[in-house]
Amino acid sequence: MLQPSSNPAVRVKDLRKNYGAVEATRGVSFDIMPGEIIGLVGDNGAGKSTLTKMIAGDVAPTSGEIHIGGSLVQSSSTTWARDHGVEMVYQDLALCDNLDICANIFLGREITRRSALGYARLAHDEMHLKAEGLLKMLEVKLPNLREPVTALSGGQRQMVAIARSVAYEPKLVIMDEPTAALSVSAGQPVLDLIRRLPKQGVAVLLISHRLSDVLTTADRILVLRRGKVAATVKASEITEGDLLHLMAGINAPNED
Amino acid sequence: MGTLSTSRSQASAAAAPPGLQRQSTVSERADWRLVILVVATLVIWGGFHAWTGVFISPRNLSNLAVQATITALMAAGLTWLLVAREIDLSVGSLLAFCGVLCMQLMQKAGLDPISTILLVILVGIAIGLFQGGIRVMLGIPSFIITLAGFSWLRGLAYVTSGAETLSGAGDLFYEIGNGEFPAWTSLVILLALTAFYLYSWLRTFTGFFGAPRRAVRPVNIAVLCLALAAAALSLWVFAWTQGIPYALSLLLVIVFCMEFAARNTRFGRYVYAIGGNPVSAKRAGIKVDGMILALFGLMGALSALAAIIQTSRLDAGPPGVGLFVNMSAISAAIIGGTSLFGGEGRVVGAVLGALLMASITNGLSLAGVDTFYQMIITGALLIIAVTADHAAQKKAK
Repeated sequence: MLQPSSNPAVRVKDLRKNYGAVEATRGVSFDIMPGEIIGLVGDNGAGKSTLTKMIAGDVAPTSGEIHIGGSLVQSSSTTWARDHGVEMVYQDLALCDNLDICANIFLGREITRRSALGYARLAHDEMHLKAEGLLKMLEVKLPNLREPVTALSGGQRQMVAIARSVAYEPKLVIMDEPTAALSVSAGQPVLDLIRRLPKQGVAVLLISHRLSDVLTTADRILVLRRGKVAATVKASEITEGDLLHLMAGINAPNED
Repeated sequence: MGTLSTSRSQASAAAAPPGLQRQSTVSERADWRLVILVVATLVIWGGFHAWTGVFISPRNLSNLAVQATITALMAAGLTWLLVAREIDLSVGSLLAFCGVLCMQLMQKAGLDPISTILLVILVGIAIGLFQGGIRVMLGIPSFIITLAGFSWLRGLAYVTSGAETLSGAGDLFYEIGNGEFPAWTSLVILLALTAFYLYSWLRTFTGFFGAPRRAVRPVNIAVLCLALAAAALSLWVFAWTQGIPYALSLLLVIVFCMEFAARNTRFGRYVYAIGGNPVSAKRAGIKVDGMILALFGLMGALSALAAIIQTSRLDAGPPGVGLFVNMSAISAAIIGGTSLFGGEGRVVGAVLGALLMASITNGLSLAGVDTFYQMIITGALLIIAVTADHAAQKKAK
């Protein structure tokens, strides 16, 4: 599974975070290889959200190291993390409902061309073509890209958010509960899309309460319990019941 | 499910002509809304003309245009603030203060008109930035800060003027609000504008000029027809017996720039992004605080410009002026389709809203109806516009 020749997309070493006396994570270490989908599961308070926030640069760790694409993270800032290839798809999607699909995909990173009068003019056609190309590559079918995202279904909006996260060739995309707000049938195309991301060389950290989603989508599953990695298991080698036991800290009958 | 959704979107893709993009149904609906607004204004004009017999005349329409300009300038700034989920309740008081300042600077301090204008615009920007700065740095809602501004700026206007109205600013300053381009210059300007509009319409929708063309929708035809009708009317009003008023031309330049910026610059797009979802905008790396500060600065500049035109028109700087202009400007923005909840609204809509409101005030004055009734009718109009909007949106959903 871990090939020593290839470098991990993200390496986390002995990451700790204390909120006062509360230890949210107590020395978490793991690697994520390029093109790998890692499921992150754990009960409420296990430290999932603190861990992801530290990787995304939202929260500064108390101690420990985060390496992204081989370089050590020096400062905790979401901008730094983004610039170095860590994208986050938030649970509440972070789309601007009133803007169209194309504008959302390029939000904050619009392509501009210097016009004759010297100001930076938005390159509408270029962005439109690039957005079309991106969605085609990801095999995502959406209606008119000029339609505001408010006109889209929940699943389609989630796919826009994911497409945006991979638009700039990130090393890692963190997905926080991507199917939580969707029905099972609406979530399926989203999971299919996530499974296609490794083809682009992207590593995915998938956080979900729906264990069946994690089991069918992830390659490996990282089980967090009380701020520590309780187990790392191959998704193909574990059942939902065993996973629940691991999360809760009860010895499963067939745990080795 | 995956294959199902795929086949469905393939079907819808096949329905649209290949390679021809069309605008979204949402923006199409917003355009129809403006078309209806213009048609309603024209109907009202017809009604007033039948009533008074003099409404549709070059002299009155030109007068009406300048009357609408002052409200429209402020409504334009308010539109962007409202789109970004902010508001400014102090612009009427700022208008009075800047007006007082104009006369004080020229008469008491002996400043020349050009320096006065520049200085007053700078003061407007500074006051806007000050209020915006409090909004951004302390996180106090703009409603409250500008409500305070509504009071202290008005007070400042009275204190600065000593509660007296200075008048008589000299010819150069007087020309700003009362002068107009010569008829032949106006003719050239209007023809050039019409030609430019036709060119960009044809470029977008027919592919005559080699650009990727878009599908023509009924609303695009309706807008074209109204634009051509407006061009014909403008030629009659502004090039036949008199020219384009300077104040109006200033408004048109500003509206054009703002509309252009809204579509074609990052700044414009971010105004709408902030209104759509401020948290997302921030996460996307947009400097939300800086944007809000800039919008308040712009609002200050536009208020100062409106004050300069107002003062020039009156040839006086009364500290009590513009008590209702704040509410009129907000009403104009809302009638023009701006949402109070942010994210929606266009500057051009606000200008058309200001025109509709000025038309009603003007028409009722011509008909000799008391101002008190005018206020009642303006209020009723606001309710009608918002109710109609609400009904239309419900139907659309």
